Amino acid sequence: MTMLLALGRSAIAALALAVLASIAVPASAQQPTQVNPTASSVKEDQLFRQMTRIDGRISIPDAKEGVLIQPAGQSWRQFHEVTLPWIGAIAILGMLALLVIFYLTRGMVRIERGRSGRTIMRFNAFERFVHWLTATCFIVLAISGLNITFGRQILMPILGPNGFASWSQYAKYAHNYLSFPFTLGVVLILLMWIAWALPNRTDVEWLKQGGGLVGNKHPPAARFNAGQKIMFWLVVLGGAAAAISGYLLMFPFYATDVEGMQTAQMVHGIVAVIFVAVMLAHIYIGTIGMEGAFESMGTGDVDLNWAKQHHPIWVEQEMAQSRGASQGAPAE
Amino acid sequence: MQSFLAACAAAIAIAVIAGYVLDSTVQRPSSSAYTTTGAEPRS
Amino acid sequence: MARMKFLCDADRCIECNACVTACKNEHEVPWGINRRRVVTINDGKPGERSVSMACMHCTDAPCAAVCPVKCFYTTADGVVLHSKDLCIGCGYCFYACPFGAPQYPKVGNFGSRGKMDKCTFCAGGPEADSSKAEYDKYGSNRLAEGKLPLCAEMCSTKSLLAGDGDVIAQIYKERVAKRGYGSGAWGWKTAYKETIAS
Repeated sequence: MTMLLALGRSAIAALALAVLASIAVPASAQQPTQVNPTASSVKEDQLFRQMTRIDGRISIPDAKEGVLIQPAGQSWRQFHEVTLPWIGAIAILGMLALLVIFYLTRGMVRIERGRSGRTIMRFNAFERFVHWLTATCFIVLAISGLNITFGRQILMPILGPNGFASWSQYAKYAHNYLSFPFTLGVVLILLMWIAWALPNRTDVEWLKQGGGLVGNKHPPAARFNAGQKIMFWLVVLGGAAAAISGYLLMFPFYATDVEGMQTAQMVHGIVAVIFVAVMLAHIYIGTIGMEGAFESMGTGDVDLNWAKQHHPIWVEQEMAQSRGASQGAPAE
Repeated sequence: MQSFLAACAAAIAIAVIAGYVLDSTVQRPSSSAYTTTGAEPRS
Repeated sequence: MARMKFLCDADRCIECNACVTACKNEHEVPWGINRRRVVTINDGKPGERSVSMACMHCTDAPCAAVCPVKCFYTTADGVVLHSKDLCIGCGYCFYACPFGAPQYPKVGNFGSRGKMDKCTFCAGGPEADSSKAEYDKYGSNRLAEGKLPLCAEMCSTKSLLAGDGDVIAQIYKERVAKRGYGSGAWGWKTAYKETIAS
């Protein structure tokens, strides 16, 4: 009797299970629905059509690692390896070629009446100090900077990879730390000489006569001629651009992301090579290009005939001042 | 000449001081900059 | 000759970070240096995908091209390595790298950011294979022992593949064909100038 009951119970249980099972299994399980998990997923091509780089979320504190792929790095590589060297080579070698041709045709600009033996003070000790502070820093910055772009091709074959790497290491330290006295020098130049560097009508006349570069004309000039005023503004504005972009590079990712860093390097590189080209002309005219010019920064005192030939308006102003002083002009 | 020598001395002095100040204040190793304070190794 | 590549199957990556942990442990990577990382795109939204990213060992590597001291070299297997002895820590390789692989021990760039460190495909560096000097500077050299990178070996879902480019491309193609979907081989166009037609 109990066995019959047990059999009956298990039969009912089995039946119940079968009924439940037939209800629970949906009819659609017989034909599975097509699911495409990538229907809403992102694809690399699609993201690149919408934006220039792919960003995501990361779990590490280094925020810039959230950029998955930035193809702009390849474009920057093209700039640094091809575009910048071409611009630099054309600017610097082109300027050197121009200076050589100019020297061979025009020669050194002489003091026409010869040295008078009398001098007039052109730049005082502080002015000369600031100029040399900026200039010596510039020379080291230029060489160490050009090393980054051109050193591999020019110096590595001579020094070998290890020697070149050591030299470049020291050059980079010099470049980064000398940027501070250079920037200070540029700021002091701005404050010291801005009053003398504002353009006026004399400059228009000087420029119209081509600065006297060709022929024997003597265009008018005050303390700074138009060419020097242009040099002043190139130094101040170029120096500022190089300094700002340079400090962005020295403090990487403090203020910008990787695209900002690439832009900073491009600005820094282009400003720098043009700066070097311009400075070659400046050094030329201050040394072998013009008799009597170097003294203005060397000792500070220039020959009076040189001054009268190249900066006559300035000489007159200086003479008038000293005449006024010696005649005991009333204090104003 | 004096002003040139003074300028060289000033350039080197400012560079060295700037380097010293930056390396002792602003410079951070990535082991402390890119780790959270809880995870940072104490040694 | 095998040409080594990485492939991260974003449809399998579960963001477990086993690859990151394996790499850090195997090479005793210092704190703050991230040779490998997992990046999650569209986090929390439908279609979220995670990708494990490290140095892709590119064909015509941009890092090598911009290095001012030419400290990079490519091995016969296509692995891009560099010399920490020559590196001056200028940071240029990071600006050029499309994948953010180079890592530096110092944050500020006054003078140097320190010696650059990155994924070596577990192939060490210029020092003698499996020497202590090599281990101290670059980590272990598994390739010299005939082993593949540990990140791919440890991947819990076999989403990260590392090895001969043709072999892993074939594996990925078969996967995509069998399951019917694939979001593509992330980074292959940028790194190897090719895509896997699926």
